Parts: sequence; structure tokens; C-alpha cells
Amino acid sequence: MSDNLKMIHLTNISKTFYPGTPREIKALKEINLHIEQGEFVVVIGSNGSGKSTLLNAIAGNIMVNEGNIAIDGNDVTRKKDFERSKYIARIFQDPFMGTASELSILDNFRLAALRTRRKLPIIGIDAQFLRTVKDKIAMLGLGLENKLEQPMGALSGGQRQALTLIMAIMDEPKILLLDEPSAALDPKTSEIIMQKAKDIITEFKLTALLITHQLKDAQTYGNRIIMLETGSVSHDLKGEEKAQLSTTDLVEWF
Amino acid sequence: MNFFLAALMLGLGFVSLGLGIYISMRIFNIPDITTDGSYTLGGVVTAVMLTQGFGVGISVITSMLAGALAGSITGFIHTRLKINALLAGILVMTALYSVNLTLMGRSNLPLINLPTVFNWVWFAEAESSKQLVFFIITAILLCGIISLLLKTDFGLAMRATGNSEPMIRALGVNTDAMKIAGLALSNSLVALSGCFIVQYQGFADINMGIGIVILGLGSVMIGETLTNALNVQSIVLRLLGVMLGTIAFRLILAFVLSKGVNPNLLKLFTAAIVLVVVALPNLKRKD
Repeated sequence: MSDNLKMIHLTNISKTFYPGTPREIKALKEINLHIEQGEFVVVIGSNGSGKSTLLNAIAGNIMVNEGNIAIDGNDVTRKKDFERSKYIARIFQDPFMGTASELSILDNFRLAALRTRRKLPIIGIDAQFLRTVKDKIAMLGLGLENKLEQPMGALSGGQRQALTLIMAIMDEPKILLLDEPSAALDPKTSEIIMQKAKDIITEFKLTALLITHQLKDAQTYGNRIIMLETGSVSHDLKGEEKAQLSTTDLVEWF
Repeated sequence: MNFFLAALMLGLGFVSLGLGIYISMRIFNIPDITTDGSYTLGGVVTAVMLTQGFGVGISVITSMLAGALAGSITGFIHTRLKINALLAGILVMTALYSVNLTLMGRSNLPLINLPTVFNWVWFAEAESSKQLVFFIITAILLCGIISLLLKTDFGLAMRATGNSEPMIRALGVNTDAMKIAGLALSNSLVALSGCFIVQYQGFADINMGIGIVILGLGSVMIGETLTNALNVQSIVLRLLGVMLGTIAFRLILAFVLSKGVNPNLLKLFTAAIVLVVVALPNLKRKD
């Protein structure tokens, strides 16, 4: 029974960059990780520990050298990033990567709404779509719902990051990958974004992976925490054990 | 006066070229030099087919398909073989020279007493009014079609591919395939321009494409200077800007020639004008 609940199944995955050269880096070493539906996993670790590589391996931005990756029971090991978007929505660290600045807010949302579908040569933005987007953006309470025709580039990083969160749920994903979503933002905006992300993950019962360097965030959010060290999982706590962790405990892990 | 009328017609005939360059250069951010070859290719295919007795319609379509093929080869070399876009374009352009020469069998092919697209304008009498009406209608039609396309879901995905590749890949778009499709579209428009111009000037020439990419780029830049000055966001108006830019560029060149400048220096002036248009915004920013 529990096998059906596995949303992400990583079996023995390894990734080596520049193999056979002096620059060889073993970024991931035979990682086995099973993430269940609805788990909100916080990933911590020092720079170069393999956090981003892990996220990119799940998203399909990099192909693993060895091992298997299954999502929701489907083997996706050889699938490219744009094929895995069927299951996965991503929030990038850089808000400029997650949005197209020359396109209007509305156009960005149209594309986000089509994440799992083909982009056909038909005009998809109609009055109803406009209303849906307006309502969703109004939930943020930033007043952006009246600026839908503005180019995305006219907004601040925080506003753009907030919008990418809403864009992620335009077409309900199974998995949400967040790579330090608030690293480029000021402390106040950062907190708003993290809170919003948590609300969305809870409301839509998403399986989520969050990379963060903020130990406070690591302690506050998620119901499971893993720590990576030179490409291997060194700590893995969930449920009660995770809840009882203090930031001091986390500091000691490093 | 006739001189400027001819310039206006050439400008209108180049609108398709301007739109093609706008797509590769502005939408996809790819400086595509294939243009020089695919423009000639469009003209050569048209000239060869018309002299062989094929219908006008089928000749126009075939020339566009030939351009699309050239563009998709550049796209394939760039995306799948990971060759720099400039180099990929130069490779295909160079190869097209031989293709064009082989297709024509000679370096210049005149079209005398053959049907042309201008015959489609049945309601006009004089040849020059047929041409003018044809060019105006096609220019407006093309601007309309391309701006509609750019508003569709597919068009939005095209624009996002050139603007934010990580985002649009995460949203399920195969950006390699999209770039190949974009370069195919761009070069089919460029070839269409070659097809029209050959019928307008009455001959195809192996060297007709030299510097055409700069002409197209200059047209797009002039158009953008215009739309930026007016702070225009809408795609339709931006494409109309490209159309006006193409015509304006031709008129400027006609003006230069009318002042008695040696026609041999025309390319030099073309390059100089483009340089001024490109450099102007950078110089302004300094104060």
C-alpha cells in the first residue's frame, strides 16, 4: 500500500560532472530517496553538497549517470525537463528565470496554465481566463490584479516571485520544486513568499522539495528534512522528530 | 517622383523580410545570417519555377517552403549540433550559394513575359498600380497574420523561448524544436520577400541576397526606434513599426541615391545607416 503513496522514487542515483578529468566532481553518490505524496521536504547542506544537483536531477535539467527516477509510478529517468513538467512545477531562485519579462503578466499566466498541455496556434486568452487570473492574483493582496497587461519586467523581484507561486498552481502540479525561492529577496518579502508557498503546498496537498540556506526556514517549514553532505544524505528526519528540531540542532549538523 | 514610388514599392516588398528578421532577431534573440541565402533562394526558386511554366501560386508556396527548409537546417545545426547560431547561419548561407547557382544553372535569370503575382490584382489597370496594390495588401496581411500568430498560445511560447528559456522549458516547451520552427518561419518569410522582389524587378540574380540581413536588421531597428519613442507595447503596432521601418529605410536609401551618390557605395551607406540606428540609443544613455 505504501508503495502507491511514493510520489518521488530515487533509486541509487549518481551524477558525476566532468568525469575522467582533473575537474571531476561527484555531485550525487548513489542516493536512495523515497518521498511520499504530500510530504514537504526541506533540503539543507553546505555549498557544493549536491542540493541543487538533486533538484535538477528530479526536474530533468540534468540527466543522472546511474540509477532510476520514478515520479508517481512512472519511470522518468530518460525524460527531459520539458517532458517532466507534466508532474512538476518549479520556483527558481532568480525570479527573472521563472518569468518572461517581455511578456505581460497575463501572457505569463497563460503559459503557466498550459504547463501540462500543448501550446496550440489558437488564441487562448479570453474573458473567462482573464477573470480566473484576476481572482487568483487578487489572493496575493498585492494589487497586481489590475496590472495584468503590464510587462512582467516592470515588477519587482518580490512581486515576480509571488506571481510565480500562483503561476505554479494554474495547472495543478503533483510536485513543487523550490530552489531557494526567497534568497534574492529582502527579509520581509522573503517571509511573505515563504508563508505563501507553505499555504499553497498545504491547500493543494502538494509534494514539495525546498532548498534553503536559512536554518530558521528549515526549522519552521516542512514535515521532513534531509541534509546532504558531499553528495550523500547525512540526515533524514520526518514527522515528530522534524518538528522537535531546533535551529541549534541544525547548526550542529554542519 | 517615380524614383520614390519605386523605393516605396521595394520597401513594401521587403516588409516580409523585416518580419522574418524581427522573428529571428527579436523574438528568438538569434542573429540569423541564413537570411542572405534564403532571400536569394526564395527568388531563385520562384524564377526557375516560373520559367519552367509552373503556376504563380505553387511557385510562391514552394519558395516559402524552400526558405523554411533552409531555416530549419540552421536551427538544427544550432540546437542539435550545438553550433553557435552565427556560425550555423553562415554555414547554411555559404552552402545555399552553390544550391542557388545549381538551381538556376547560371548567375542571372530574367523573367520576361511571364505571369506574376501582380496579375492577381485583376481590378487595377496599369502594371505599376497592380504592383503597388499587391504590395500594400500583402504587407498589411502579413503584419496581421504574424501579430495574430504571436497572440496565440503557440506564439506566446515562441516569445517566451527567446525571452526566458528556463521558464518555458519548465512549462513544458521543447525549446530546441521551437527554435527550429521559429527559424523555419523566419526564413520562409525572408524567402517570400525574395520571391516578390524577383517578380517585381524581373530577374533573379545570384548576388541579390548580399547584405540583405543588414537591410532587414536596419528596418527592424528603425521601426523599434519609432515604437519605443511612442512607448508602444502592443504586438500589432510593433509589427506595423517594422513595416514602417522597412519602407523608411528604402526611402532613405532612395534619397541618398537621388543626391547623386554612386550606386556602388549603396551598401556602404546601408551599413552606415544601420550603425547609426544601432549606436544612437547607446550614445544617448551616456548623458
